[in-house]
Amino acid sequence: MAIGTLPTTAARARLPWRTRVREMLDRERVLGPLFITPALILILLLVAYPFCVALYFSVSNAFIGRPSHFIGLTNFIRLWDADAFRQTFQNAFVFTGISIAFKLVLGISLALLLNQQLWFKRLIRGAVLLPWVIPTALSTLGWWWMFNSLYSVVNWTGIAMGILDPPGPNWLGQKYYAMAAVITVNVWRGLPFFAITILAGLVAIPKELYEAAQADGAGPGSRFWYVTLPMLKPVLAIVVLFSTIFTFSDFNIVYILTHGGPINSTHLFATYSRMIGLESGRIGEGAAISLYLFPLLMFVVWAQLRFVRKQVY
Amino acid sequence: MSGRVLRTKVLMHVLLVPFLIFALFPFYHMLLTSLKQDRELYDRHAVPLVIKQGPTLEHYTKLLWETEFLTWTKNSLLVTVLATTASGRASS
Repeated sequence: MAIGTLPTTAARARLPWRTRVREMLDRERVLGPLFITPALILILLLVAYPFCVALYFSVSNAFIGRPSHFIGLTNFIRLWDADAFRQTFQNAFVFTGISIAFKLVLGISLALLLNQQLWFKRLIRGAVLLPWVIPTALSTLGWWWMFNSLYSVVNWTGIAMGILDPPGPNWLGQKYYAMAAVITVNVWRGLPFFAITILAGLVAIPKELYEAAQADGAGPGSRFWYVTLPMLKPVLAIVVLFSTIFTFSDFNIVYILTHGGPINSTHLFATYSRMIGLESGRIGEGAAISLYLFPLLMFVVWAQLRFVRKQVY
Repeated sequence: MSGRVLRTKVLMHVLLVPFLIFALFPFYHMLLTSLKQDRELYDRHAVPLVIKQGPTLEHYTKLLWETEFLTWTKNSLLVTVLATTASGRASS
């Protein structure tokens, strides 16, 4: 319907209602919100409502089966004084920092390798992607058996190769080894995402840049440093942003491998929050744990998105 | 010149080997574990990297006939189909 020929008010009143509805729908101001409404309702129900409930719980003394009262920031302050929570706080940063560092370095290397001319290229790319496709809970069970204190295949291989002294470490029962095991599984699981996304970024770099750099006498090292890396920056920023969020809120791996132990040394916010909130029933405190880093994470997301936008446009 | 190109190509594959082992070994080990007999699984002196005492489908038959595995599979499929359809509808 042509927009320029809108009937006058008097003429419009005489039109049948179906035509009038159609005319209304033709206007972007009506149609746009109408299209958005279903998605908006879903978001309100499934995201906003639970989030607000969690926000309320975190400032209340909610306990399963008891009425709750508003108690202000007491939960947050009390948590900060608890050793177990401090340990969790520290674990989360160690876990996320080390995991992401490994995933980034290994991911870039793997992406560079996958970008070469290879035999069985598709097969190799598929194989590399496998850990990411399998449900984490199931593959972590496999790792659990690999790290088992008595029948660990990791220890057996290490001993056979002469790297470890028999009987080898008890991976899931010793403080630092447990953290190493949890990080290993997280890297194993997250590496494909890094590699494939960075590979996509690599493929998108124009060949002319390399030719120009080569003509100017740049070797492989400086071509990587002055062409590849700067061109990859936006992709890297996005990948690191996503991975930071997912690694911080990781639950499956720790819950299945160590259950947070030994002595809370591998608890992350999600697992500790579950333990306090659901296993001990202190819902208010549990909600406070899961929301503890919300302000910080929001700032990180904001800063990184700003950085990405600046890089892209 | 062609020899050098070939050598780099082979080198690339060699460098990929550790990544592939890291990515695929857990699956290999899971497969082995699923096919080993309990006797061998709990034998501390057995070599864990191969099946020596003969493979068995015991664990699979147990899973299929003595547990509700088929129901769980059906549940998974149901959730997958419904969730994908719903979110597909919502975002299209």
